[in-house]
Amino acid sequence: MSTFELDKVLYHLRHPEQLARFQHDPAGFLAAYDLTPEEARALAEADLVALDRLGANGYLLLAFAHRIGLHDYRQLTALLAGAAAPTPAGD
Amino acid sequence: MARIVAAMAMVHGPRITGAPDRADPAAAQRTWDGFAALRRELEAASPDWALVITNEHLTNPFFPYAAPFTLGLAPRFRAPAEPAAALPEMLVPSDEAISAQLLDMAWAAGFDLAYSHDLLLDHGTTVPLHFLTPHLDLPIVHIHQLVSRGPRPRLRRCYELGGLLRQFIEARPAAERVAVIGTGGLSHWVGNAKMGQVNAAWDQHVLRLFAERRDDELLAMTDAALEAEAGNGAHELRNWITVAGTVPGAPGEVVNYVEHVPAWAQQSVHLRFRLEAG
Repeated sequence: MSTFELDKVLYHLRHPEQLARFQHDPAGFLAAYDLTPEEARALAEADLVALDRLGANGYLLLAFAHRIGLHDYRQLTALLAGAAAPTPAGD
Repeated sequence: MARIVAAMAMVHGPRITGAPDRADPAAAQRTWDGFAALRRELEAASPDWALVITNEHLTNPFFPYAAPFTLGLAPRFRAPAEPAAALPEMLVPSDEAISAQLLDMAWAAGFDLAYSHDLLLDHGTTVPLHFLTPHLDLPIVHIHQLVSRGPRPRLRRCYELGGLLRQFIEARPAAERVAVIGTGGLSHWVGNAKMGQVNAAWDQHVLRLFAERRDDELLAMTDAALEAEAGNGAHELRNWITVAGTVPGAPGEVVNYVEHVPAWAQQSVHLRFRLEAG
C-alpha cells in the first residue's frame, strides 16, 4: 500500500505555518488529504508508533517528532522500541 | 583536457555540527581532523570549481515529481537555516554556465538529468562545506540524487552518472581543475526503532570494496539487501558510488574512520580517492 499521502502530510507539517494550522484543527487540516481512517487517526493524535507501523518515511517521521518536541532522536527511538526514554547524557 | 584533481566522500549528518559536544571527544576530534585533512587536500588541488554529489532529506518536495538525478541550474542556491545542524541560512555559489553545459552534454549523450532553478540545499551540502570551504568561495555544480524516499535509481545508474561527469570534465578546457565531492553516511537508520545503530562489519566491507575497487560487488547490492543490512540511511552510499564512477580504478583511501558515534546516530568516515599524479 502506498504511503504517499501519509508522507505528503508529514512533508507539509515540516513548515511551521502548516503545523500551526494542523495543531489548531487536526481533523479539518487532514480532510484535504486522501488518508485511510487509521492514517488520519495516527496523524491527528501524533501517534508516532502507529505512524512508523504504517510505513511513514523515517526522515519525515524524525522531522515531525522534532517539531512536536522530541529534540533528541533517542526519545523517538525509545518510543518506537518500546523502551524507557534514555537520559540525554551523551554516549 | 580538464582534470579531476581531487575526489572524496564523507559523512554529512546534521548532528556533526548540531551536537558536537554530545559525541565522545576523541571521536569528535578525529572527525574534525578528517574534515581538515580533506580541506587541505582540496586547497592543495586548487580546483576552479567542484561537483557536490549528495541527497537532500525531503527538504524539497517529492511531489508531484521525483527525479532520480537533479542538476542545480542557477548562480547560487539557498540552504534554509537548519536547527538540527545548528547552521544559519547559507547561500552557496554555483556556476550556472557550467551547469547548463553539463545539462546539454548529458542530454546529448542520452542521460536525462532533471534540473532545478530553485533547489533547496540542506545538511547534505552544508555540513561538509562548512568544513571544506568555510568561506563558500568555490563555485559548486550541485547534483542531488534521489535517496531519502524510494523508489530510487539503481546503484549502477549512479556509477554511470559518475562516468558521464568524468567525460564532461575531460572535454572541458585544458587548464581547468575540478574537484568531486560526495557526501553521505554508510550504515545508519533514520527515524525508526534502530536509529542510533550501525553495522560496522558492513561498513568495513564497503570501505574495502572502495579500497580494492571491486566496483562490480558494490553495484551488485540490491536496495532490499542494503536496507536490511545497513538501514534506510545507507541508501546514501549512492553519493559515494557516483564519485567512484568519476575516478574509475582510483583506490579509496580511508582518511578517518570511527566505527560508531551514537550521539550522531552513525559512524564518522572520510575517504579520498588516490588519483594518479599528473
